[in-house]
Amino acid sequence: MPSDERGHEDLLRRYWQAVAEDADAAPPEGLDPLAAEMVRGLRSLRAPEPDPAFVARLGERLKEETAHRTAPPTIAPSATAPSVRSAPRPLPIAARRRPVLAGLATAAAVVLAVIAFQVWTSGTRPVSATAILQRAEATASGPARFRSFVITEVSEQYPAALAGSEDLVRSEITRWYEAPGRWRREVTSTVLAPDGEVKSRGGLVSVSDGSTVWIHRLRDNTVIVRPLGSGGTDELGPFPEVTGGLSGLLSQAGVCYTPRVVGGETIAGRSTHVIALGRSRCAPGAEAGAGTELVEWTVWVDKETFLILKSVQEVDGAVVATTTVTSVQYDAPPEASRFEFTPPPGAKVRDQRQ
Amino acid sequence: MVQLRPSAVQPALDPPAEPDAGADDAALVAAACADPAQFALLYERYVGPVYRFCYIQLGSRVAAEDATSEVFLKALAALSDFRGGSLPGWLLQIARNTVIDQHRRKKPVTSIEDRHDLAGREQTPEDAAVSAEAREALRRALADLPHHQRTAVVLQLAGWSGEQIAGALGKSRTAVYMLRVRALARLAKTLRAAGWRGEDLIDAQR
Repeated sequence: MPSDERGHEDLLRRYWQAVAEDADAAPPEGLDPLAAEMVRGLRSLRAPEPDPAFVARLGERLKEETAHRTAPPTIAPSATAPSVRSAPRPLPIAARRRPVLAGLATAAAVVLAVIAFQVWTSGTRPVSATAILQRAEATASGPARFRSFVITEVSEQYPAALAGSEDLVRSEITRWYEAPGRWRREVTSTVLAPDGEVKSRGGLVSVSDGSTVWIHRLRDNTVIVRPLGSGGTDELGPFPEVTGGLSGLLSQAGVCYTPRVVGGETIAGRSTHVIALGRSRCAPGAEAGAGTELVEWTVWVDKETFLILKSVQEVDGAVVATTTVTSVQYDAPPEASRFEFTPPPGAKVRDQRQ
Repeated sequence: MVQLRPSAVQPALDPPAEPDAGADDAALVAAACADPAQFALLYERYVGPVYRFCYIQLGSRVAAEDATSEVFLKALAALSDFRGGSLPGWLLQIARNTVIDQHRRKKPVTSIEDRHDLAGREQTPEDAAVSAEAREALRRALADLPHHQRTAVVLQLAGWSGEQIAGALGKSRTAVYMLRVRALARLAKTLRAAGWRGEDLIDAQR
């Protein structure tokens, strides 16, 4: 190995150690700046400690498993004494038919139950909050039922609501989608001080043409290019934030929440169910006091498409975040140019396609 | 009492040894084989490292908890098959296979708390998007590293001790050190070739 390379590796080693001890440690002189920042960037991939409640739950479960393993084996009577019963005789034909008929009856009952369930779930008026959320989850897991849509939503968040900050981040997001994988998302956001003063503005455009994704941050003219489906912001799929961002909530609704229908409301011209989920029983901070266990959720679900059109988070009755769809058009194919993107002059391009 | 591995421990009638928290891995395994209730000590020692490894590989709390549960249930069931060697290496192998299984399953499960962490929600949507992309770029570059280099970095990020990493990889601590340093140099080269700059990677931390 060349000596300069060996020297650089030594600098890297020292800096890795320094950053482990102090996140803001200055890189040693002579270390490649990108390598130095990469060492710091890698810190973003570090894992948090497991939730103590999870550790305790799994510990209990393992304890039960081990108790089962240490229990004295049950000795079957047949192992200790020969059976005194005679071999079973063949049943009469009529008796043999009875189980067959019973089986057919059971199968028919199952088929009827399945049909009844399908009729129930395909109707426009599900009867329970859980059923509505199950359909909302199915919708959020795949865009199969939509050929295209255009949705605009407005989001207001107090970024550090639990830490005392009163700045408000207000964003407007419009998303154009056309099956199977073309979408465009335009975001404008403003950070506002409590007195209404604009502290900063920003914007983002992300576009998928079905195979490539471009993400353009307007503030510094940075463009990221990468294949579709390789992670990052694809996690929301084609859906608006209010739906795609809540898919995790929906999948846990039955386990972690006690949802109930609390009314109906029209959002962006669409009729919705209003469902209060209350607080999570599974929030990681429930024991650690991290704060997420305090959040109470309410969601508005489109009665026809089961997309979530609004969500509100509250802590002790104070709203900390809302996202509301302000306009929605289903099956409205956008013009083709929406799904094209050319980096503007002078853009700093990070191309991940190699 | 069911003895899972009679040949590896004391005579059947002797009470199993109760290792203290500082016991070495071999003693933990031997005790757990003799008395499955002793598995708790092994669990306490490795639940953190295994969880963090799974978290880095899967990227979400819910998925990491599922995988960690699976790893320890599998380890408990297969303890009698453990034939000595490195306990962290054995657990790492189970964890790797479990993570691969999870990736093969239909869709990742992300908890709402993972995505809506109020305490960490200090970014505008555009900054959050670029941070997510920068993290993904790092993840992809990490995934493209040679196997041992990648494992050395991932286990370091997961907070495994130098001794545990060396045991898991079957290498000396010096060799692990060199693997890690080479991995960092290679990551820097990959990211630079893709056009990333230092400030982007600082974004990734947010």
